[in-house]
Amino acid sequence: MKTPASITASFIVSMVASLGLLVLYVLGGQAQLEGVLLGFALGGLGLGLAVWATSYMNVPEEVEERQLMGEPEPGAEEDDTAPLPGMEDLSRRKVLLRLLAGAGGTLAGALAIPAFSLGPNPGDDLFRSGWRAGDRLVNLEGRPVRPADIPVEGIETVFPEGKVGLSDAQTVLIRVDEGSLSLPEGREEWAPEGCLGYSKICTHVGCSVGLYRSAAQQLLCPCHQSTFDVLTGATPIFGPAARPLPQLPLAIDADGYLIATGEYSAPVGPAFWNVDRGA
Amino acid sequence: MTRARRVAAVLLLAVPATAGTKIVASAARGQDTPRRYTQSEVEAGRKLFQAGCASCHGEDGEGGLGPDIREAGAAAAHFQITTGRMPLADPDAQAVRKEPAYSDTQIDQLIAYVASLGNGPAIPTVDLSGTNLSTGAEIFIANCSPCHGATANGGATGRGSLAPSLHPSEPVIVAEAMITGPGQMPNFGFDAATRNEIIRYVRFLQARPNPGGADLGGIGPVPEGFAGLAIGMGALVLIALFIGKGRAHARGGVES
Amino acid sequence: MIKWVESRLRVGGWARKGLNKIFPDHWSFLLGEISLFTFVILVATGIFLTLFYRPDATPVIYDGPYLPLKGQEVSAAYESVMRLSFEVRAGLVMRQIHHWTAIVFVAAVVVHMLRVFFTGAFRRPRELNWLIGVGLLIFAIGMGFTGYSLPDDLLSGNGLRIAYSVMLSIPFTGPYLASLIFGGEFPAEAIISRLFVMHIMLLPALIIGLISVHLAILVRQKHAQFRGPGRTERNVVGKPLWPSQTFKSLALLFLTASVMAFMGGLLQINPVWNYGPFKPYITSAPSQPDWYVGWLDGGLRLFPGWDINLFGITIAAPFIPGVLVPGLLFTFLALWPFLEARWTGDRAEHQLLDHPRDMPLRTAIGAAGIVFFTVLTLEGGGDVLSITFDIPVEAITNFFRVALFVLPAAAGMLTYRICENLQGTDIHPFRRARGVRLRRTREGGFEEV
Repeated sequence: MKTPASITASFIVSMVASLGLLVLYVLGGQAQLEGVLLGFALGGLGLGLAVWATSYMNVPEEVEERQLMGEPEPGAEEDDTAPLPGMEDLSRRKVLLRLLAGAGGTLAGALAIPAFSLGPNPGDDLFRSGWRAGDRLVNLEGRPVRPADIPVEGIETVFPEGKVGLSDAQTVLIRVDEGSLSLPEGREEWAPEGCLGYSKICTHVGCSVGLYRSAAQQLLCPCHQSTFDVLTGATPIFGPAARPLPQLPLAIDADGYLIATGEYSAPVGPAFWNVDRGA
Repeated sequence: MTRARRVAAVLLLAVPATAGTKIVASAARGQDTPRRYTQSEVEAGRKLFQAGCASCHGEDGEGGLGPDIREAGAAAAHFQITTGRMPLADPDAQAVRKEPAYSDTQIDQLIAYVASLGNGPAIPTVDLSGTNLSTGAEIFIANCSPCHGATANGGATGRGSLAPSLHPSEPVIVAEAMITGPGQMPNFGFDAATRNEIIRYVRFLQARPNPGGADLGGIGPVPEGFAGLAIGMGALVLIALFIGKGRAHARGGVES
Repeated sequence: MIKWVESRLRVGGWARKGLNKIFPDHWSFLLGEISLFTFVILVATGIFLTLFYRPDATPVIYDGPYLPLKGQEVSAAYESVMRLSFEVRAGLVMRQIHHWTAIVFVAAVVVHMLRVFFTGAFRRPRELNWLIGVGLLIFAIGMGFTGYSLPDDLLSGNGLRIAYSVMLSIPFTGPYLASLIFGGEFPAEAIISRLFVMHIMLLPALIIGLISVHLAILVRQKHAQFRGPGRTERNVVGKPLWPSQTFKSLALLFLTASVMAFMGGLLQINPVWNYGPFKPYITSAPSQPDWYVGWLDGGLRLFPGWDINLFGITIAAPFIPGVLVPGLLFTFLALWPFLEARWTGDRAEHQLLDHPRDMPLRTAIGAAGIVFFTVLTLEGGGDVLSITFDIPVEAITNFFRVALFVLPAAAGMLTYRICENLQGTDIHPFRRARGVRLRRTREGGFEEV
């Protein structure tokens, strides 16, 4: 059986238009071109089907009996195991069927691609917190904090100056007796006057770790009870969190206020597949 | 006048009356001027201390089984003794609120003695005039609700320690907790004005303003889910039993 | 009038057949109807709420009658829920009826499903309706979670944060998937309007569509029935739809709505004014989802802090209890009819239902499953159990870590034994034995006393 070139051409045009739509989307899009390509993608499918149906399907006309609405329903007897007409002919058009499926699939793909507009590529967002070296620590009211403002056994939620409320930068500032600290190596200078800064985002699933057992020096997450030992670098000691709360290196500036000297010791928040590899 | 407004108005009237009996020193918003205790009070307090407290806190409050309390001050002493948290029968257990073990006079004497040991904080002043319910609510939710819960009904804080319900707490007790950080509670170091704002909202919560009906304990979705399953689904199953015949084996077989 | 319609549509025969449809009488057959009716109530109250709710995360200053929030910055969504609760007439009761009904809706779906499971009503020819039922359960939970998240209060915001983090934990695709669904890194403002579209359009459309097919299949296949005199695989014994069943169903609709109204009026639920507006840097305690998500939250609490590192790829701790295990459990649930048919070799059509005792293995697995989910759900409220019963949270978690495996196994074995003991007897486990006292007559026969 010869494959009709007109139908083949229609389906191929449709496919090419769909692919064009895909490429156009990736390149940034253009409304008129998008409309034209979508028109060709849909139109090619439609035209091919139309030519197929009108010129290449020779199914004889049949007669269906009709009952008037006032008449009783007849006991219909139909053989529902007989093959539908035209199936044999249809199943021999392998090339066209494949082309039809290909064009349909490409169009579906082109139409699904805009779903990627729903959100930005995360890029290295998950690795950045919003803290920069030199940022002053300010409390919820926006006031810079001195070590003396926090009593020993005290706790305060702080942000970089000018960024109060920034989710990724939320930090608990805890003051402990300096002598009791046993921070990991290299962090000896990170806690001036016993002031410790830890990311407030739980490393389990991201709730705010605002529950501080001051006598035991443990932070606890109210959502799933992950518990962190403040004196040893907020290492997890109970519950489902696997990672320590990242620590923010602190120092005191010339005016006596607490500042950050750089980024946290690790990406903040819950873990993801490339958290240890970098973006 | 809305219900919330009425509740707030009633609170405003009620607070100075209850607080007046407890407040020892009175000062304008800001610094708390310590009350002066007489030498005889301090001396009587020392005897009571040595009889009831020294086994844990040491002969002169220097600590032992219990913490050093020389810098605890009148605020901590007042908090611990009037709420019955001290003396503590089992030093490993968390101190919880119970009937005080001493009379009012004895309590004053003990406070006088503890205050005389060092420079700890005095009993704070609570003054709710000029406070704003909304300010207090915002600070409370940010700082207190992680442990005590959004409705101040208390919460679990792990290792067997509990953040108690604040519903039985008098205003001055709440203020003292904020500046002394009893037990596992952090020391928030709030100034007097901030404390007053918070206390205003705690008083509001203590009136249990529940416009939606019974609050089921006010501790969130757990009791709500339980009520939904037990009461809601339970009632519907009973209704189904009432409407549908409950018997799998219909004795009569085909109904006529 | 009827004649006029009939002479144009000729549906009389069809309608008469419909009205004569036979309903076997058993209370447990009403559980599906309860699910349907609670959904009807949800749609009715939900339409009311939609008229006042604003799916908008834009910050506004609250200036309503609830004083503790006056002057605070809240989202427009939260503000609209506050207005609905405190200023719109009948708004609070509608909100509370809607929320209580949501809680009961999922419960009714689950209990209905348990009935179908334990009586073997999923067997051929009803496997398709079982699959649709599993889909309905998933969408019902989705409806519940999206609804819980809409008010943009502190509890719901933290719930979303957890959902985001669980998505983030999926290897390779997690960060992209989470960003696409939330519209960026959490907290992204787009999520509120997206949840709204899900909650009032996509999910309801899916549920209504699936319910239609569910019921059409039910009509096509006719009801299953319990064994009893006169009941065979080739008949249905019961009462016709008209009149008694119609009245019973109407009665059930009104009584269900009545229970929901009582609860909505008398029991406060989800007081968002207490939680306050969502701020990404505050979590209050106790912090829980609604009950039907509790088992997932319990899994997150229970799973130890293990980040598995394979060749530099991190499999974050929440992935296993938050994605992998629930996915496997729902797959297992959906495939159950086919798995059972394979194990028993029974592929025949069944119109008569099983007594649970007659299928001890299935009943035991079902009981184990119930206990498994109960343990996870209880762990989801571990901190509330801790303050209620004065037990350390850590002890509760450690206990459930063991109990999650031991208790279901024990419950399964116990159930199996009970089933075996009940087999061959006609005793109902929850009811006293019924019988008639007989006396021997002089002629050697018996008569009832």
